[in-house]
Amino acid sequence: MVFQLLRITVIVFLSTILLAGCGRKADSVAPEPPADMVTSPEGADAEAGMPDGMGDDGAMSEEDVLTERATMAEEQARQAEAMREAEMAEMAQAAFVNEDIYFAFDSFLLDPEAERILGEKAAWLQDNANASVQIEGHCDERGTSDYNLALGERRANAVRQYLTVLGIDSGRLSTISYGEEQPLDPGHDEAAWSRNRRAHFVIIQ
Amino acid sequence: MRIVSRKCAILALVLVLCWVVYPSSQERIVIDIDQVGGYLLPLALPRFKGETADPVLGQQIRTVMQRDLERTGLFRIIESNGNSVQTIKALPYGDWSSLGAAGVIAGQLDVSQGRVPLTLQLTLHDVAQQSMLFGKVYQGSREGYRRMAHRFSDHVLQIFTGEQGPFDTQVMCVSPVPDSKATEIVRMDYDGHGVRRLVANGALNLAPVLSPDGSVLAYTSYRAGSPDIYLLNLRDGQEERLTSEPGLALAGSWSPDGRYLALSRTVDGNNDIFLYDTRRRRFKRLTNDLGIDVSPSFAPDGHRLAFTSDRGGSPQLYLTNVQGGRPARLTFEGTYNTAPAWSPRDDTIAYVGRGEDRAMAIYTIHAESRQRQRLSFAPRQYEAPAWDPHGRFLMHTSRVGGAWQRYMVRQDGHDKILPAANGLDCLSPQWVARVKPSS
Repeated sequence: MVFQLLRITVIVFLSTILLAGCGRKADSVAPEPPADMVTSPEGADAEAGMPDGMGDDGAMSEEDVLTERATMAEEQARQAEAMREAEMAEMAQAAFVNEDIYFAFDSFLLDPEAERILGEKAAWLQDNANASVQIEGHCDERGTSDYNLALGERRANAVRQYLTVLGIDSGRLSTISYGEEQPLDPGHDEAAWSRNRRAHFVIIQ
Repeated sequence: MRIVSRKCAILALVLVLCWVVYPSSQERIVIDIDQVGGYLLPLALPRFKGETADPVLGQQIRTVMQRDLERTGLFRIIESNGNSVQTIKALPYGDWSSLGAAGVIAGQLDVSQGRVPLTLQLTLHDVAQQSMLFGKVYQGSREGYRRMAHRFSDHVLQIFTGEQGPFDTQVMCVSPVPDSKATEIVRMDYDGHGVRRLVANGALNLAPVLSPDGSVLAYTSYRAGSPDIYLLNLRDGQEERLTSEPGLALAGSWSPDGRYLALSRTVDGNNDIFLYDTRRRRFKRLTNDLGIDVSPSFAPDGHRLAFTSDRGGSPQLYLTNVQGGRPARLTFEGTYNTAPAWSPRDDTIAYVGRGEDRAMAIYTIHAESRQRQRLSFAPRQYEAPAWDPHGRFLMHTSRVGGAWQRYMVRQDGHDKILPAANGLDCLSPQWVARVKPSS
């Protein structure tokens, strides 16, 4: 009886070592999870759950271990994929917000580059069907304040119009003009002016 | 939002008593306010009688008058060589003649601890005629001295040119709040003193336009999330939001009788000129065009208006009337003509244009003859010009690089920089008659 108990203890001990070794092997096969995943509660649960997989007799067949290993790798890959997707969504949103549409002096016409960027923005808006955005129209410091406020409005409206042509619901797109009142670049040369003649996107919801 | 109460009760005490002066029948000095170039009438402005009791105040008063008069480009204040006046009614004219003065402004200053802290008597003399042309007595608080000096400067200009002076006036302007995206609406004396904040709410506030009687301030604020026009009653502090549809709304000009506010407004994505009838409380559309229509400015007849439109492919000035007839294009030269300001006295319209050299400049154009004149040549970023309440001088704020400067400009282009107000910039100035303090 005592001998049998000892035998079981040895088997459990060996199984644990084997399992730990498999765990490391699985780690090296699966894509490396981001650092913060290792300490995440989900990860901790998964590790803690491993001894529960053992049979009542305290032993574990090789098939069981392999299945467990495959499940873990899949799970980690899925999580890494979700992480990548979240990162990409974040990058797409950052690009959506940070990439402005530029205009020529005293113009609200969209050039091919502006249309290309707006195509990307429309794609983002389609991927994020719950988002509502405000399109800000801006001008450079040349010319007079009132006219530039009206021109900024025309720029914002031109962008809004183009996006609706690309199939975005106009109810998701509001506009506001800041004219020459809020330049992005405080400079007073053509480089600054060209950066300030812009439509800028703000996600409001 | 807050209205700074004007504790001008004492200033209201500025009693103005005039003693009648009839110039002799001899030739009088007459100068043309629109003279181009040269001759500056030499005036002496010696230390006042009684000034030793408060030399600092005496100097301050004389400085205000000297700056006022020199800004016109019509006068120069000559050295008095230590001469002061013993009497202000009959001067030793020979002494002033030998100093080269054509005129003398003489004064007597009385400061008191009593109920009337400051009494200032000022007289204007023609040296060649050896006679007094004009005189005034001002009484009020010590702080009221600037206003007394401005008023006498106005009289001096009127006596020599026949035109009412622009000195006892105020300016409404947009003042950017440092290190923020907010702007405030402020009122100040034309020379930047006595700043009062009228609208300060942490938001962008633009395009202030004061009604002719000084009671209602129309302006655009972003404080509710979109650029809308508000009407602020400066007498009781009541405020009304005039527009609320999405899109831009900008006040442009009040009709001379104060009943109509001409404004631009975007309805269903289309920006047009409207009149708001304050009596019947409703809007009337004056233009209906797919292009931009902004900056309406009333003619003094209260019937015609000038405005900016890009309906022809580039921003140009157009004329219409309160009936909303077919707009007639006024400017044809250059590809950028905006911000018309119709003179309160005649058919001259000042605006910002882009000349043949592609540089922005201040221009005037006559509404009928279309005769055009360029008033500025320095390469600056010019913003909308404004007329003084009598239509003789223009004011504009413009900049080179980041530094804004406010200018007072004569119709021949002669200009002088106006002082900054306590470090505040004064953008989009509207030059108005002094607003009477509320009771």
